[in-house]
Amino acid sequence: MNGKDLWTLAWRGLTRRPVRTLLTALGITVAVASMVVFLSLGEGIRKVFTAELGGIGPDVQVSLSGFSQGFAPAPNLPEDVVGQLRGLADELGITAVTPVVVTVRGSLDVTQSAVLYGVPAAGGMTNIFPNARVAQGRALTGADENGPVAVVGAKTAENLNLTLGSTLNLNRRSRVKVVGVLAPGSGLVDSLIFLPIRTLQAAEGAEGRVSLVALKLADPRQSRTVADTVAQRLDVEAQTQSDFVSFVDRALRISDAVRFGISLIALIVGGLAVANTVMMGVFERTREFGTLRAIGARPSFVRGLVLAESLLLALAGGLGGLLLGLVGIAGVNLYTQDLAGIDAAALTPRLTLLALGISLLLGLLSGLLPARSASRLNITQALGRV
Amino acid sequence: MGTLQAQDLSRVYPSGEGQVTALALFTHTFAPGLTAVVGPSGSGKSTLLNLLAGFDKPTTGRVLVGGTDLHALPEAARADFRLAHYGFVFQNHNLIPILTALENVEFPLTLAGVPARERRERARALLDQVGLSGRASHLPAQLSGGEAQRVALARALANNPDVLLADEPTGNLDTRTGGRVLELLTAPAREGRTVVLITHDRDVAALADHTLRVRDGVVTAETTGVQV
Repeated sequence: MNGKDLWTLAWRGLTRRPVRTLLTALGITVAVASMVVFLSLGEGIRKVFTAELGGIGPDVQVSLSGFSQGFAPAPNLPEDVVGQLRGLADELGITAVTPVVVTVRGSLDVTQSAVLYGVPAAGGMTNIFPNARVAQGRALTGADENGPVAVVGAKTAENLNLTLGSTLNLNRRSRVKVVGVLAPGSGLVDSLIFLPIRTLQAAEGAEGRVSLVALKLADPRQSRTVADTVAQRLDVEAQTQSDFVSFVDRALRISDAVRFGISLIALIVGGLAVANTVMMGVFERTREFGTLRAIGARPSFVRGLVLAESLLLALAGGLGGLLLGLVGIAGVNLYTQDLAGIDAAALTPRLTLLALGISLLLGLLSGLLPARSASRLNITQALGRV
Repeated sequence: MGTLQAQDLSRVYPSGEGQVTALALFTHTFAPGLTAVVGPSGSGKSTLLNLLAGFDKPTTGRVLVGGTDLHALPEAARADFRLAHYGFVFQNHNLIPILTALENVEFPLTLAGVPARERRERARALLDQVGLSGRASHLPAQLSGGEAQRVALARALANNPDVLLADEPTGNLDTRTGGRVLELLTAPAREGRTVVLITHDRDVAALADHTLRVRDGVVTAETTGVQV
């Protein structure tokens, strides 16, 4: 028997009980869809970082603790490091040294949270985010240093309901006035609030300390060498953009593993549903399989037929899961677009392949036991001839 | 392919602490033509057919088909051998319920890897032969018992078998329909094939060229001609 005949027979075997087949396929559909949505979050965030990396500033980032405190390290780096770095500028080809203070204004409602970025008022923002453009009002200028002013990202302005002239409370004793709103579409920058570094230091009680120092190089290809030299001479942590990418990738991989682990539960349940359906089918069709064996089908043919049914069921569920997953991803992105102006979830080709691969693996594993049972049937017993 | 031979064939089943001998040292050469195996229920007829077909392993003895020891073949090779040399008609038609009458007849040819067009032509011819060309696209559930059994007979003949084994093929049919099926079953015997018919019906056995009477696992009488 050729492959086409086998698959046709398997398909017709499944469609003999369409409701049961549909319900089982739906079980896999939901399991695969949940996996797709869970894992699509990592894929989407990866895409955002990859797309925006060119627009995100420093060739080298200097801090006390590297990325171990995430993307918002506490202001714990003595500010005199900035002077020391400026002293190395000519020797190492550093074109810009930008001290940064980062703090997070958290809220239980994520839409009300924001990242505060304290930078030198004169050109600090564009040193780190060269693509950031002001849509309303003006950018920070040298005259704003120490002043109670801020430039807000488009999404943050929308979420916090800030417009030109609005007042933003940093804490009980510090408030700033919005003097500029950035153009939307800058991704991560959309969710930031830029303040003069002195203003933020004063508000946070972090005078004389910064979170990090961003370095721009004349030749970005030297970033690894410069980072190593700076780390060695100043006894600080210095990371390049590729360290940043590795960090993001590592963080996403861990997050992927956790999310995959959660979706694995749904996948196992889906797999057991397939195994149950196929096994029931084998029991119900004992006489039929006995007949097949009697008229000359090899045990391997019967095994192949049951496995093909199981694989088809899983494939149908997998394709359904991808479609349902797409709907879920659209829902997630609707929310994250509204929240931060980014598509946090994405169905990439590798996720599509993974979902289909997992579905087929599920089908294969679920079908193994029923296939083995069917192929080892005793013909006389199967035909009821004992 | 030559004759069907059983040599010292016996089958003993364990039963509680003892044993039950379903068939005892059966030796026979089945000549071409129709051989009826008759006997009451539990006499060992079906056990004999199971052993002749290679469905079950004998406790002793062997089954030779044209010199090939059927039970010495590995399982997959035995399946191939059945596909190439045997045809089966069961008491219940045992058609594949998801396949149409035509596809059921085609099925052994499909297993054998016969090209689609060739097997379809052969299946159509066989359905025509059993008078069911008009029912080709019907599923087994849409056929009457007699029609289903005729389709099963067409399927048994699909691979042009040397040996045709039929187990109570008319057991579930009324006299008239059963008569039609028997008529079709005797045709291959007249063509020189070896047809073994298991039955407990003396009228059915009366049509056979040779008759074996079995009781308690032992052949008690062997006759040739229409004289049972």
